[in-house]
Amino acid sequence: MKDTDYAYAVARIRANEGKLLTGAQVEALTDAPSFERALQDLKNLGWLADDGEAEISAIIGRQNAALWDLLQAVVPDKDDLGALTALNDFFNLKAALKCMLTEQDPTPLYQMPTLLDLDALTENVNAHAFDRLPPFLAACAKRAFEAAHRTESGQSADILVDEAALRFLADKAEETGSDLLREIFRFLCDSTNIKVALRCARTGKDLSFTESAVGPCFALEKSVLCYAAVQGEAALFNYLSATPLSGGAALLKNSTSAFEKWCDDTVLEKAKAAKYVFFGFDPIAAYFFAKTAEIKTVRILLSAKKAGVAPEIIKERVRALYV
Amino acid sequence: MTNLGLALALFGAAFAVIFAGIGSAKGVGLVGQASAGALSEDSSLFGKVLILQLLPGTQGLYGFIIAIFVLIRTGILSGDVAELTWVQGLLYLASCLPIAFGGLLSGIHQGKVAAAGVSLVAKKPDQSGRAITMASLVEFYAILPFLISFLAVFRIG
Repeated sequence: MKDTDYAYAVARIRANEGKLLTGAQVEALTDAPSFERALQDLKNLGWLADDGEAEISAIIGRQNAALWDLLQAVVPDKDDLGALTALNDFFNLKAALKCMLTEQDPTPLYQMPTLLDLDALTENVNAHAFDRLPPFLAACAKRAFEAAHRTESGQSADILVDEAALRFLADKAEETGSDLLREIFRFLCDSTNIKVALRCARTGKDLSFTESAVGPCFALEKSVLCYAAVQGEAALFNYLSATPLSGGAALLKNSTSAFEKWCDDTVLEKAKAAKYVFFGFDPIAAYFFAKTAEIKTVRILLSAKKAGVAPEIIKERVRALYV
Repeated sequence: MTNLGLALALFGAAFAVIFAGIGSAKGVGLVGQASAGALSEDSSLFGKVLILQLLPGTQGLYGFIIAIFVLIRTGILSGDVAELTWVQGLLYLASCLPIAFGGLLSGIHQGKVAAAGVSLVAKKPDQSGRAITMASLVEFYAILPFLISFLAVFRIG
């Protein structure tokens, strides 16, 4: 696919970029005196449906669905979107496996957007027909199922799926012809690995477990990261302070949510390079990250408003904006 | 040898139309795709994106004009076909090459600039003037080969 094949898609995406929330609009929403007022402001910005549905999950769900509908409508090759939804796809596989083992319905747990047929995923996992899953999930699903059976614990299955997801993302980072996506995928792998390593350090896991849980690294040295995690939290943060991700690590020391915000903001900062690209998939991927961050901001904002959180605290949590 | 001269001149005319036409077709087609994307979000942008879509179409027109002049000068249009030596034919062919290749490349690149301009207008409709100006600058490099081809065709005795 040539970059110029995306001319239609990029023009539509640019038109939609003009509808993204601005800093002033987010500030006005943050300073809104009440949850109801924030909802009214969002309604004026076209965020609420005509039926006036005010449930936060419904508002967020509708925005996510609209984003996904737009992306699917504009991209000339839907396979392009696969890398963007990979983490959700692997998460959904984990949910399906876990619910199969506990005989529950996974539907409420599924994360959107995804390119998977979720009914088929549930059906195939329940029937142990892993070879009928998409090729990138099939082998990992089978291994995770066998591990869960062998150890009678969902944890080993989770680790296998999480590690496979990171490996998939790392492969995509190397395969993609886009510098922007490569940088973002590499960053996502590294930042997720930091979280995994910290979890291992806090739960006192041994080296072999940590090495199996941590995925491919780029700006980090996997062996050093795993060794530091086994030594404990202090050793882990000491190692991270000397890496390019030291800024995020310093935040993670005190707050997981601050680290999550740093990760989202860093991805968006990298995505901003696509503002100056007019052909190819980069502007579409950048819009995906921008809109996802915007939706997350509105979710945080509404939840905080509903709980009566002060605007100053909300401002610390809201994500950076693309526009 | 008379027929060879005429054949070469006609090749020149064909080159001018075909290559400059390809440049325009690619350029206009690309801007058309971008315009469709912009209009599907905001149909009020039609006037602005139409100008951008028209710009890469001029190369094909320039190639067509040069080809018509070659047909006039060689008497093909009037039916009074001139006797051309192979050197004269080659001169006509050479005269057509600037607009053929200048038109091809400038049409494609102007199309890219104009398509990027459509994306700019889709996001910021008030920037249409700048988008049109940027795409128009590429036109200069279609006009130059057109002028050279035009002057050369007229100077061939």
